[in-house]
Formats: sequence, C-alpha cells, structure tokens
Amino acid sequence: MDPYLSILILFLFAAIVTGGLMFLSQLLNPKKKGTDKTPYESGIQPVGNPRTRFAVKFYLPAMLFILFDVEVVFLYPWAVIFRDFVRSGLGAFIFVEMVIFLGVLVVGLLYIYGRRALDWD
Amino acid sequence: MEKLFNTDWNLLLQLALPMVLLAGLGMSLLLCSAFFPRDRPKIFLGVLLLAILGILFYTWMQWRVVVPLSQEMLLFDRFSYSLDLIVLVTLLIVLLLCSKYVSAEGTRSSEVYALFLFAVVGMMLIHHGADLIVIFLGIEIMSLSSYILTGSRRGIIRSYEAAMKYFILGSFASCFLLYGIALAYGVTGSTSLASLQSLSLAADTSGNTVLLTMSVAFLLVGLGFKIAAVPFHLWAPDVYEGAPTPVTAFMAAGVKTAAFAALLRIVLALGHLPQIPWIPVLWILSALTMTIGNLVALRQTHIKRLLAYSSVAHAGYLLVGVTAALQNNTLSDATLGGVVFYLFAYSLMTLGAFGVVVAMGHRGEQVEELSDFSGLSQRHPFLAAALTVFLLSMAGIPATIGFAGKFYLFAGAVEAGFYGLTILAVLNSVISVYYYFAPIIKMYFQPPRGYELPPLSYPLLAAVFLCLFTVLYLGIFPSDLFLMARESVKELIF
Amino acid sequence: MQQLADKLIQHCALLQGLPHELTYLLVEIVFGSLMLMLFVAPFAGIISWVERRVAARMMDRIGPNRVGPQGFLQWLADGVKSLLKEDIVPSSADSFLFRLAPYLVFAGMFMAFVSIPFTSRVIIADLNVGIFYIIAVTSLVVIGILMSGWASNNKFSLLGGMRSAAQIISYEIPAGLAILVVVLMSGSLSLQEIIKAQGAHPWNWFIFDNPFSFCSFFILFISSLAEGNRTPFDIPEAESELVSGYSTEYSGMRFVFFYFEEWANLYLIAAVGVTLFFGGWQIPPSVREWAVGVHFVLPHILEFATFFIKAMSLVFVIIWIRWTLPRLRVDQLMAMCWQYLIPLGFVMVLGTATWIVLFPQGVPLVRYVLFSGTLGLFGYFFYRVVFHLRYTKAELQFNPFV
Repeated sequence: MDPYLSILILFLFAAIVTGGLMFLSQLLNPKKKGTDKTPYESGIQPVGNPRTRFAVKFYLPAMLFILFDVEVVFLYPWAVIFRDFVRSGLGAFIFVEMVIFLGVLVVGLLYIYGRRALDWD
Repeated sequence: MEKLFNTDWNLLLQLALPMVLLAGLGMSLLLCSAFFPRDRPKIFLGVLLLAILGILFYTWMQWRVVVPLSQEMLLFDRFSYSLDLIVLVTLLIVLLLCSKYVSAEGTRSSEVYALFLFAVVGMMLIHHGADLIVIFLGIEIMSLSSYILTGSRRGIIRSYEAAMKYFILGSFASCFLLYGIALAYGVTGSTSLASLQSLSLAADTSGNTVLLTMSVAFLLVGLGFKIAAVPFHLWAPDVYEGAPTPVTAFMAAGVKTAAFAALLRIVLALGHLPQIPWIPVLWILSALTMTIGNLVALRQTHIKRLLAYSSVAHAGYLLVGVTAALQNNTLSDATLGGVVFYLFAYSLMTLGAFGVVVAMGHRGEQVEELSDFSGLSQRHPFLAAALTVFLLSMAGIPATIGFAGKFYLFAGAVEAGFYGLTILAVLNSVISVYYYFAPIIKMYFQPPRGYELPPLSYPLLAAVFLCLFTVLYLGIFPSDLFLMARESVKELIF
Repeated sequence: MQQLADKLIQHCALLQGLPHELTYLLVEIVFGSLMLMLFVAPFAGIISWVERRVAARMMDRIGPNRVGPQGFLQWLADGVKSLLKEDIVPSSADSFLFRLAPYLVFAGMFMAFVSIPFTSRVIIADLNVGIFYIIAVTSLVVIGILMSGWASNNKFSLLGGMRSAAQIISYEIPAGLAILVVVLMSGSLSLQEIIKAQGAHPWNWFIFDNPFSFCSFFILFISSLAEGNRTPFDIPEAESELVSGYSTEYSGMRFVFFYFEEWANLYLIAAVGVTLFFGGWQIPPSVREWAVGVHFVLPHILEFATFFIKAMSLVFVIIWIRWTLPRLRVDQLMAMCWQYLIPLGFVMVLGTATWIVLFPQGVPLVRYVLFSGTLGLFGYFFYRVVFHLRYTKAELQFNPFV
C-alpha cells in the first residue's frame, strides 16, 4: 500500500474528527447573538486598525530564511549519498564539492552578519 | 559516479578559471565591505583593474589555444571565449566609468564592484552553458545583480522605481524562459543543447508540435525581454533612465551581449526543428525591433532614453544577423562572425556614449536632457568630439567601427538572401542619423548653457579615450578583428 | 504497517477471508484512529496535567488535584468545559481565515505524527523521505499561526503571529542543519532507517557518535523548543505583554485546537529527538530474541516502552526548562539563531562530514568516552542536588502526590 495513501486517509480522518468536534461544540454551546464582539484590547474600545504597515524587520528574517532554507534543502541529497561516495573512495571529492558550496553560503552569511542585517534593532 | 572518474577536473578548472576567479574576487569584495568599516574605492579599483586585465589576458590565451570541449554542463569554444572577451572589456570600462559614482554618499564601492563581478560571472555562465538550465542560471545571476545595481542610487526615487520595474518585469520574463525550458524538457526529455541540436538536425517530428511551439515561443519571449526586442522592450527606456549611468552602460553593452549569446546558442541549437517557423518569426521580430526602436527614438529629448531606444534599434540590427545566420544552413562563419563583430562594436560605442554622459554629470545629480549638451564643443572640446564620434559610429558613418559592423552584418544578410530585410535595415540606419545628429547639432551650433561642468577624473577620461581610440582604429582597420570574429565561430559546438 | 497487517492476516482467521487491500485499509483506519483517539489526544491532555503538576511542584504549590485521583482527569474536564463554551468570532475579524487557522495548526501537527515510528513495525507511513516530510508538514503550523494572528484583527494577535512566524522560520534553519548531521551519518531520510542505523546500546546512539553530533543534538533541541513556541522562546504568546499572542481572540473548541497542538507538539519534539539521536525503539538483540520466544507481540511492547520512556524523559526536560529559564527578548532570540546556532550548525555539518571521511567505521573509543562523560555529568549533577538538599536541610517530600 502506498504510504502516501495512508497519509491521505489519516488526513481525512483527522478532518472528520475535528469537524465532528466543532459540530458537537456548535450543538452544545450557547450563542449570544446581537452582542458587540469587539477584539480584546485590555478592556477598552480598540483604538485604530491593527492592519497597518508592519515593521520591516519582520520581513528580513523571512527573506533570509528563503535563502538559507533552500540552501539547506540542497544539502539533503548530498547528505543522503555521502556514505556511498565515501565507501567507493570518493569521500574527499564529494567533501570538497560541498565545502565549496558551503563556503559560498558562509560568505553570504558573513556578509549579512557584517552588514548588521541580523541585528534586531 | 563513473562520469566523475572520467572527468578531467584539472582541465575543467583551467578552462573555467576566469569565472572562478571573478566569483572569488566578488566574494572577497563582499567580505571587505562587511568587515572593513572604511570604504577604499581607489584601492579596490586598482586591484580590480589589475585582476581583470590578468583575466582578460588569460581568456585571450584560452581563446588562442582552446580545443572545443563540451562537458555535461559547460562548453568551451572560441565563440564563448570571444563573448567573454567582450564582456570583460565592458566590465573594465564600466569599472573605470563608475569611479565617480561609487564615491557618492551612501554607496559602498565594494558592493557595487562585487555586483558587477557577479553579473559578469553570470554572463560567462551564459556563454559557456551547454545546458538550458545553466544558461538560465547564468541569466538569473546576471539579472539579479543588475536589478540591484539599477536600484543602487541611494535616495533617488527614479532609481528605485526603475529597479522595481526591472525586477518585476524581469522576473516575469524569467518565468517565461523557465517555462519554455520546462516544456522543451517535457517534449524532448532533455535540456542539454547538444541533444536538442541533434534532435533538431535529425528533423525529428515525433515530439508534440503544440507543446514544442509553445516552448520555443516562451523561450523567445524570455530572451526577447532580455535583449529588449520590440514587443518586450517597454522596460528599457524607463530602466535605462532611472539607473545610475555606469550601470545603464553596463546593461546596454554587457547584458545585451550575454542575452544575445543565449539567444544565438538556443536559436542555432533548435533552429532546424521543422515544426517551428523560425525564419518568419525572427524576420518579423527584427523588422519590428529596429523600425519601432528608431521611430520612437526620433521623439526623445532625454539622452539616456534616446540611447535606450537606439539600443533597442541595435538589437534589431543584431537580430537581422541572427536570422541570416540561421538561414545559412551550414553555420556560416561570415554571417555569425558579423554578429560577434557587431556585438563588440556596439558595446564599445555604447559604453563610450554613456561614458560621456557620466562625465557630464555632477556627483549625485545627472545631466541628461539634450539641451544640457548645448555648446559643449566650446566648453569641453574633447568630450564633444568623443560623443560625436560615438554617435556617428552608431549611425554607421564610414571610418568608424559602427560602419564596419553594419557592413559585415548586412553583407551576411544579403548573402543569406534577405534583400527586403537588408533594405529595411539600411533605411532604418538612415532614419537613425536624424536623431543621432540632434545632440551633435546642440553641441556645435548652439550657445553654451550656464551650468558648471564638473572636473573630470582620470579613470573616466581613460575609459572614454579607450573607447574613442578603439572605435576609430577598428573603424579604419576592421579586417583583423573581423578575421578574429570569423575564427571565433568556426568550430561552434553545443 | 503492511507488515503488521500481514502478521494480523496470518494470525487471524477472520481476516483471511477478506481481500488483502481491504485489510490493509481497515488496519490503516483502525490504527490511525486509535493513534489519534487513544494516543495523541489523551497524551496532549495528560501532558497538560503533568506539566501543571510539575510546575506546581517547582513552585512549591500543589496544582490541580480535584478532578479524579490526584486531579488526573483534569484534562477531560477542561476539554468538556471548552466544548460547552461559546465560539466567539470577533465581528471585525476575517471570519473565514479566523475559522480556518486552528485547523491548519492542528493538521500541521497531526500530519507529522503519521511518520513517527512507535516500534519497528508500528508506523503509519514509513516514508522514504520521513524526516523531510516532518519538516515540511510542521511548516503548516506557521501559516496557521500567522493566519490566526492576522485574521483576529487584534493588535496582540497580530504581533504574536508575526513574532511567531519570524521565530519559527528562523529556527527552521538550524534545525534543518542539525537533522542534516543525522542524515549524513545514516545516509537515509527514512525514520526507520535512521533508527536501524543506530544501535540499542547507548554508546551506539547517534548522539555519542562523534563530538559534532553531540553538539548537533543540542542545536536541534533548542531549535525545536523555539519552533514549538516553548519557554524560553515563548515570546509569541508572552502572557505578560501580549495577553495570549495569536490565540487571544479564540475561545471554546478553537482555542483547544491551539493548545492541543502545543501539548502534542511536546511529544513530537521529543519523538523526533529520540528517533534521530537516541536510538528510537532499539532494544538489545538478546532481549529481543527472548521476547520473540515468549510472544510475537512482546517485542513490540518492549520497543514501544523503550521509545516512550526515552521520549517522556525528554518531555520532562522540556517542562523543566520551561519552569526554570526566563523568557528571552526578541532581539536575543534572533541573535541566538542567526549569529550562533546557524554558524554552529554549519560547523557541525562540516565536522561530521570530515569525521565520516576520516573514520568511515566510526571510533568506538570516542563513543565510549562521550557516553561515560555524559553519564559522569549526570552523576555529578545528582550528587550536587543531593549535597545541596543535605546542606540546606530542605524538607523534601519525595511523594509527588501530596
């Protein structure tokens, strides 16, 4: 049996269970209609709109994440075949290849570090 | 794994050394910019110039001795090395040009230099790519660097706007290119140029015609954007105007050369596919590009926009050469050699013209309206004379390199039997004379306007002088260079 | 799973009449629902009770002790209470996204359980990209959290969601690098293969394989804490400044889903750590042979117990950390990830690769030294604890159920 099929089955099952729980809760819980359901802001009427422009420093990790996570993902196939290469005597070769790749990556990391892109404030 | 055993890594490193060195230099510059608080543009420039001269010499030696070799992903032949030489010369001149610009407020010279180097590495990857994926990779490295360079004029809205436009449209074009590559892979089962070429030579019609046509169409859209061919040229004037002038020069010369290299390789590899109407498509593309580029240029009053449209028109002339090269079934050395020669000629005269524009500008603000050139001949005769020569060369007046280039290019087209296209191209050249003369008339026949001309720096003068000398010398004695260009394309491999 | 079903078919006459595919499907559904109903859900509940009790002990309190024996059924009471609460959707919220977010969070956590191995046979889906799959689906949680933060139209929620997203995605990189170290050593992404590549004895575990993998475990552990929004990295829901972070506006069942994710995630963190570094379900071959002789189910029970005990120890450490360490600031958090853990992670990857190239068979001496060193550290720690207890003459009640 395809393992991904079992994932699908379980996903459907989980969806049914959570949906059922929500349904049960909707059946049982009280519903107060007509009351003003404002967002919580320490008990006062909310001031202004939270959906304004957000500090750019939150986006910087996002951008750096894209860069580095993709690079790390590139490393996985290498890691999987690494032992095979070592066994067939090409360990040094594949190691050096990856050192070059990582070297380029580390230069990037050092650069963003040096330019203080990683400082939160 | 056996491929790894059979690969001569020493040879590969030796052949690809220029790329490796440039990338290494770029990365060291980045580290310098990160860890040395003081920026030292002069030292960096000196070191870089020496290094690039060395790499230029090394590439030239490689050009002389190289035996065509195609690895899995990279190929090394004279064609690629000759294009390398063109972009290296471009880089050299652009680095000289931007000496004033990088010392401006808020700019770090090392970062700008590093981006230029990375862009050139990308271009070299395009030249040496033996696989559509490598070519795409090269195009992306080159494009991303030039997006950032376009926006590197700190605090100037126009620069940011240009960078944003260039980035969004460029990414869109890259998507087209990638989709085209994916479709080509889907139809043929390979992305390597060699296998695509053998498929195309065998006139294999087994592939899905619709998908293949879509693939080629997408590839042409993507590449057409990069070379600024006409339906896809709209970004060019805005980006050329907003970018710092040295960067504009770099884009007009280097990026266009590399994009043409990619176009040539792909068109020549896929050119014999029976399903694709290559010749009519390229014919129309080139006719549109040069006509519209020239006609719109007539109305421009801004020197950088004028040069942008002129570069669109020149892309049209080059496309004439590409069409002719494809028509001459045996990869005709004369026609293709003409394209390579013209790429070199075009790069030099564009760099020279933009160099004069850089020299006119103050630190920070730029002088770009045509009216600012009034009476330049009285205030700075050398700059006026140089700009005149470059513009005349672009118009194709004899005794300049532009004339020689156009001659070889159009001769190839006539040889291939494209009389209509050649006549159109010549008519276009005549039209172009009109707008190329506009600044010349302003410089020589109008009274000077009262603004102070900034002092000229030596690197800038050296760059302009270098371009001027080459344009004139090779304009008068073009045959040696043309022989070299023919030599370059003799043993084209895929 | 298929093997388990085959075994069942062999031993059960009733199933032999059915087509095999149907049996597989049945086993799948039964086992999946068992896992969800009898393992994950109660586990998440019970662990919440455990945590509250442990926390109480550490704070010299008693903790919940009313519902059931020693308050053991507190989690059920809480669940039923939440079921009966009103499901409030703020009128200014983005209703659709607000309702959708808890499901995403829940799905991201629950889907990861699918490829967690419980014993050598009991694993719902033994994917050949197992660990990769876990990294991938747990990323779904970030989307859910960000979505809930944005949809609530509440400033605390938005801040919490943004902080959480920045934190989780940043710490995914060191986690990925630490996992890479394990993949390097095992040469496979499948969780079962990774466990099989280790031995049953502690010195054969990957954590003691070499000094670099030893450090990698701590990188992974710290990153997992941060990815699970656990203290000391719980700034997204820092109650003293952000009320309850991204889940401020949630109530009733939807709130439970968020907390369900949080508690179940504890086990997930521990299970991944145990699988990758502590030999998973491995039991010594001699014990195994003996168990097989007794009954064919016994080795599975032993394996499950091994895995569970190891995982629970890690869970306890996580709870312990929560009530020991103060919360980090945002800037400290990001600095820790980008300036320390990621460079360290790169060093570990390179170091492990070098180690494998130099010693393809491993170095037993290093394993023993690392193992006994760790053991010695633990011994010293307990010695100090006992020493201090004696020195301060603290009144220690050894009975945890007061």
